[in-house]
Amino acid sequence: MTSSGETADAFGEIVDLHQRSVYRYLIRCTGNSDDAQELFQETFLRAYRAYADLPTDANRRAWLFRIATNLVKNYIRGRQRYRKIFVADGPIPSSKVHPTTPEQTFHSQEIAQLLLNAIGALPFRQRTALIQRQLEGLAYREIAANLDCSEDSARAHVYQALKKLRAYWQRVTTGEERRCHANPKA
Amino acid sequence: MPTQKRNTLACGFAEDDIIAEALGENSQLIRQKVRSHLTACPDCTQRLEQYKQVHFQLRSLPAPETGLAAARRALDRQLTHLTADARPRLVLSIWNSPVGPLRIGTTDRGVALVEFVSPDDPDSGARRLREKFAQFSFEQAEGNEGHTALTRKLEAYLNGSRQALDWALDDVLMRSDFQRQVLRAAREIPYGSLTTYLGLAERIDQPKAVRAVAQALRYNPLPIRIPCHRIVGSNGSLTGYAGNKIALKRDILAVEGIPTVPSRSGFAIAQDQLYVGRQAERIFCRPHCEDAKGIRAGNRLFIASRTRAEAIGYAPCGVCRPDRRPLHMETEPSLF
Repeated sequence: MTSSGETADAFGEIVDLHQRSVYRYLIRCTGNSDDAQELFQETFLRAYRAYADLPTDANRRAWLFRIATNLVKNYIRGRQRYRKIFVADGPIPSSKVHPTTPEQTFHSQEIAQLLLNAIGALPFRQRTALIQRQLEGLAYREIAANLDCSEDSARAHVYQALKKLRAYWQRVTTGEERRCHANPKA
Repeated sequence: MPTQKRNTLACGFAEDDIIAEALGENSQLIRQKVRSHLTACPDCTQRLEQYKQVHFQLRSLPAPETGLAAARRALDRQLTHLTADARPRLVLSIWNSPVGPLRIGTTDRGVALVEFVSPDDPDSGARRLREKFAQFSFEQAEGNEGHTALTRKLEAYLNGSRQALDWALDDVLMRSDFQRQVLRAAREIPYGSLTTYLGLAERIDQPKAVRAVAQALRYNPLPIRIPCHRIVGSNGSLTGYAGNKIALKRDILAVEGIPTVPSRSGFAIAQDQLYVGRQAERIFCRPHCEDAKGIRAGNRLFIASRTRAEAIGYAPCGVCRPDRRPLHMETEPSLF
């Protein structure tokens, strides 16, 4: 039997190890840091309560993403009920990838914002599956566990999301969407 | 209009294979199939290029960490709260009382511990507590305001100016429900009065459990506040207190006005100088009154003075008339 002090120490290490990826995931799922902060705390508090029952060989990162994903599900449902519009808050930090063409130099921040908007418009499963796979590099098997579906379904969610993003990308690169984005009421 | 199968493009090729190609998830076989199709299909070539760009852009999205530090701080606060909550706190302090150093321990609910500290090794008790009560998180709090308020009352009790210690109690350190029952009964023995171990056993309707009663009192976690010093042997001997601190028991009894005399086994109460209270009738007698002879131990109280007897609502006996022939001249402090 471990004392609660030891549990707290071991759990502290888990937080240290995974806080960045969990926070990143949440901020991408919610699109704003206020909600991400709230869900971040809730994720780890739930994890803390369940930690004692977690098998020692469990994949802790996947487990945390599963908890976070469930919270995102409730979050998105709550937002949809009020028909809130997804808008990322604050300026997006500049891309860590060095742009290679003049066009990218000019647009990289705008592109990031457009992509985030597009991700925010995706339904829950497609959104979380896409972020987990493309941005956080989880295996389809792990995504399937997080979303309570088969691996094939998990892959289908990611591909479906990508199809929408490609269509969106096409409109952006032809200039259509940028005009709309600049003047949403048009 | 020809119906298209889902995921099948106008050219008849599966779109998922194009996506998988862009993500690098295709098997060798499918990869070859895709490449041979692309040589003939400019639409799909463009489509693959777009998927690759989306894939690249997604991978290059900045990793926002604004707010992470604040979220972590808030989480740590909550976790600290949670882990502290998981174990009840026992706040300890030591007070150098007129009868020697005392350790006082409080929980959120009240005082749970009063302990006589050995002056030679003041830390041994604290060590033993930590080992014995691992379910608590211990805090040392010398000069804690709450504790100061407690010791002020205790000081007033020990110098005789206060009779009731109205501390809120927490019985969490008591060992069993039997001990709780015994100590509850002990609390009913009024200030300046005594009963015997047998008397207390009879009061809880377990006249044969005299020794168990004595053990329960020996391990009283709240001495003084729960007046186990008001219980003595059937022959009037002070027997034990907090192990072997009989002199301490004598001193505390002296505070309450109970006279003691040296005896073979140490000290005994001076029975000749104590009134005998008959609890059921609420009457007090002189020590050798015929009416007080042969009453049950559970019905008998030794009372220090007429003042004390009258304070608890006892009337003087009509046979021995302790009101006309008092045992000793009682002087009120106000007369000085």
